[in-house]
Amino acid sequence: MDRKTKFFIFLFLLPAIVGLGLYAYYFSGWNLSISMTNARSLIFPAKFIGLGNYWRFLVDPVFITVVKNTAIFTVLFMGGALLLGLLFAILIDQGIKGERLYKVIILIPMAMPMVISGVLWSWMFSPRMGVINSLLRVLHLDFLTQPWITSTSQALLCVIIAYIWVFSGFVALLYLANIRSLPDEQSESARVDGASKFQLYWRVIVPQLRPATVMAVAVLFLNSLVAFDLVWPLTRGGPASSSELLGTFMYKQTFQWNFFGYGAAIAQIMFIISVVVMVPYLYRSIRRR
Amino acid sequence: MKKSLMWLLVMILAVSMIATFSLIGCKEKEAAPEEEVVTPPPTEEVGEEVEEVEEVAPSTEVLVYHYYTAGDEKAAMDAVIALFEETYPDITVIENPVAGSEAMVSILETQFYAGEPPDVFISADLIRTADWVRAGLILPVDDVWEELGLNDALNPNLASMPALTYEDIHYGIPELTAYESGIIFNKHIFDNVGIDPTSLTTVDALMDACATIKAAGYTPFAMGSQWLWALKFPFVDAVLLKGGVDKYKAFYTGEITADDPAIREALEFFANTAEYTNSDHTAFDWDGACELVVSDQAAMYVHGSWAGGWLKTMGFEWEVDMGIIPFPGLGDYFVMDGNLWSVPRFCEHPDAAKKFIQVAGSVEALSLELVPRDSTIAWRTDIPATGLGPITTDILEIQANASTPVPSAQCIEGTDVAFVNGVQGILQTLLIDGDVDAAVNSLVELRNTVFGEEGE
Repeated sequence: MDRKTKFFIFLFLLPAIVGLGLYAYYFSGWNLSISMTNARSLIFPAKFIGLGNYWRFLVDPVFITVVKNTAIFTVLFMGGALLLGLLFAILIDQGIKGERLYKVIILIPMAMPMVISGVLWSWMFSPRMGVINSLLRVLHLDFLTQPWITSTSQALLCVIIAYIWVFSGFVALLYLANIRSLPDEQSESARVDGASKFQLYWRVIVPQLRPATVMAVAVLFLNSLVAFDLVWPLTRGGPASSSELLGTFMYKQTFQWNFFGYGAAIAQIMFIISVVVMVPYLYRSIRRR
Repeated sequence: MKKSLMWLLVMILAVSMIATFSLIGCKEKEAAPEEEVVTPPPTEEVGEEVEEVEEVAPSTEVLVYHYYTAGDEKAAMDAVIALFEETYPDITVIENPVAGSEAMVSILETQFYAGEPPDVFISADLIRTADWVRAGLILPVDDVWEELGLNDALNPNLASMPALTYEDIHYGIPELTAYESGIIFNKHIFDNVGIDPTSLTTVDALMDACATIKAAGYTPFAMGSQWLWALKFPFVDAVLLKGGVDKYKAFYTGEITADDPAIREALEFFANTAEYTNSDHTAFDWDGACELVVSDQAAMYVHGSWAGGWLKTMGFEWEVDMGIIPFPGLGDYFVMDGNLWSVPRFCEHPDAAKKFIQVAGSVEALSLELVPRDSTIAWRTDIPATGLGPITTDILEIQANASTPVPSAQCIEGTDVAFVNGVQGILQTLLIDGDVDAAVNSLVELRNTVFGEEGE
């Protein structure tokens, strides 16, 4: 590669490098510096307190609740989205009529702004006027009506259901692409050997869906960690912190309570967790190439 | 040839992107106040600065941030803007309505940091606005204040509201205020259960009425706590009831903790109201709670008096369908909030902004606002009574009978936004689990966090 080519490659990359440097690395560094201060405002001067905010998070009474909720949310959301996504992918793979339409339908939730999805689900789950309870009442199944988002034991579940609804279409398309990329000969051989459809998918196709699964897990995990935009209009982390996640807790501390230093520390913790998960994934992906 | 052209285009694109980034960087550096507090200049300098601004920056538009997004509030804001555009046809108003004062204040905080605030904003979160005043981020408005004759016209009860005046310089132009220690009642339900709402002059009578109303199949108290601030109203009433104004202010400024017997009693009282409150209160906001009243599901709503205006918008008629009484035992108190127009120092069109607040703070504009916003009162005392609606008239009568003006929680000098918001979060938990001991512990911890080392 001659110098001229190298120069132009660099020139091509320069806008991206500048953008990434400014919006990702510079602001990450800025956030780190704020997280080590007692900043109560972005305007007033703040005092350096080292790792004080990180310690404060560990001893915060809400810490256990937030971490527990985030863990439950992550596991159930990822599990639900993967299973439902796989189911959708297999159904679409049957060569049914109107395949494109189904693909569009399952992708619509992903295309909608999360805030809109949150508002929609708040109308679904509203115990008094919500669609679900109203439907149950119309069907004379009043005994099945639930308090949904107003219940401390059901609010988190409502959030999980809404998130699964949004992401399962995306997962389905990942799986479908993976399934369609598998050689037809394997399926043919299995059929010739007398495998049923269930056996074909369970024993031949699903074990080969690892690349799509790894990719989906990475994306879903990151989204579960930064979950906020759908939770906020739906439950605002309540009632009584019952659906509080790292994202909502960070937002409240920063923008409602003005603990900017503390909020930055929580954001930094979220960043560290995502790095810990993503680095091995990226390392493996690069090595495989 | 084609290849060279392509390279040229790429280079132009790259150079312009770099230039854009550099310019953004320079602008941020120039405008952002960094971590340095700007000291407000003395009055003389302020006058000079304003004159200089008027000469240098002739404006053609004014960007206005407010939270009047619907119903009577929107109609009032539309009337003010129409009046302004009629007075200054060369200046275009660009509105940015944000749903909720709390959300708007969060946006403004980051805009101040970026050095790109709007030209004008209105705020009910006066403690936070007062912080911005102290940081030198708000323009003094003594000249507008003088023009509007506010020295003579301002309601003296409101003169000490935060963000209005700092070191004898005025930084805000008052708009409207609301009454926050009353109970709005549904007349149909009270008629149905045979109780005269005006007979509820003691807490015992109120609680007896709640039991009767509940037995008749209605919800005694409507509540919508999706945005936590709605929980403030019954709690403030409870604190005033059990501890009076001194304890109320001492609690919200961290001078006493929730261990204090009066505060504990207030928490117990608040927790006891849970059985008379709709259990799905976390599912909707304050306007959702109004719907419970207007649909004859709930009998009373302990909220700011603007809820009366909202009910009117929804078809309820004053004295026919609804009315207002002071919270039992609090007839001597008049709890009130305040909405204040301010002009940020680094705004783009300060000249137009000052013209806007001069119009918005005038008797004419406030009289226009009070037509749709029947349920609020002006900070000014010289609004002609002839044009006032029945709700505002009744509230003015309650004010005349009350001997003690009390600032709303977020308007108490010396409180902290983290404490006010934190208390509301704890109140929601208390209303759900009824655990007063846990609430006391959480409040003590919150007080120590906010007013202790972290709060300093």
